[in-house]
Amino acid sequence: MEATWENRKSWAGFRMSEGMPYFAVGVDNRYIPPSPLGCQEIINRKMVTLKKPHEFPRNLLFMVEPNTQMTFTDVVNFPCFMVSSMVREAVLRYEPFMRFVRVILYDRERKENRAYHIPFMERQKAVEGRGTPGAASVRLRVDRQSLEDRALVEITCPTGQAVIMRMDLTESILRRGALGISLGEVETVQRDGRQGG
Amino acid sequence: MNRIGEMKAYLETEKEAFLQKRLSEMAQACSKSCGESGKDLCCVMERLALREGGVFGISFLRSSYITGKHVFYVAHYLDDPFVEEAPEAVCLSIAGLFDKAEADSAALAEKLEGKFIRMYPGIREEIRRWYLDGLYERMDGVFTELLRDMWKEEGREVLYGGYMGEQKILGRI
Repeated sequence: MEATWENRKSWAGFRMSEGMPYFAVGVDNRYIPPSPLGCQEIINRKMVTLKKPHEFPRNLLFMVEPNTQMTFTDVVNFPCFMVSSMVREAVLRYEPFMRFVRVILYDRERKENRAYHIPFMERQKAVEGRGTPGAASVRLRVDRQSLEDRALVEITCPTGQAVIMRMDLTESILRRGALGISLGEVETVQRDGRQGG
Repeated sequence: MNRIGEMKAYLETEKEAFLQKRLSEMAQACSKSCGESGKDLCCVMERLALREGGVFGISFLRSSYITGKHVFYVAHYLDDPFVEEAPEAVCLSIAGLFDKAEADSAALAEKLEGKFIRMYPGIREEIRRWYLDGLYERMDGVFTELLRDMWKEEGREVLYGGYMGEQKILGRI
């Protein structure tokens, strides 16, 4: 029994005593998320990195590219990582001091709009990253101590930026019916070389 | 995607039939042989039981039908479930039990194609997640079978339900 307990790999699972697992969160490629038009000069990933929330215009509204398959997914990767109001509410329960910038996306053809929020997250470097950030196939190795148990963190890796979410927050948004989310594997490592969740 | 409610209503009877069949087959398979999943689960429970007092919780994780790993959160709580910040816990994959369940959700999506046009991949995935969510919620009988050799008249409660959601009592060990 002891041998199996210690050999966590045999379960394709993980012991939680070393911390809660994280997922790389993005848009599932089977869903078509809203694609804002003409926004690149006003908001993009670089600006979110360099500017503070109060430096952004207060009211941001963008038309979205017309597409009959488009769904207002609860997470959007373009032009930067944005979340729906439902996800924002859930994030604030775990990270009450996180700041957001609100963006309205308007679908002129359907006459529908939806509010999205750009979270200003802590940034950390990945120990190792493979695959496209934002896609379910992404594989990340992250130093657990540097995450400081935060619920939502931006990770920079050689192939770009990914956003990782702690399991409890992920479950919370899924229980609320989050739409179109993909989850990728994140392996956390301890500084002493041990593997976490 | 705004037709999804209508689609789910259309599939409700079919989904229920698939769920009943699948749950009964899973429970039957577990009653014949608990397999690797059952052995792993018993091993985890025995290890968690080394701590005295408290209750055990087996919780389904919605994230695991998205990742396709079918992982369940097995924990020992000294306090009420999900109150303790870092309970002794394990995430245990029982993906081997879900091969036919994935086929069920594909069959449900195919049935929709006869009634609705423009069945986009996102809609098919949404139907899959909806079906597996329903399956997870009702897997208490499967876990009762997997732990059949451990049940006792008196002992500590084993609970089943969604992670941070409502829990029901499976039995005592």
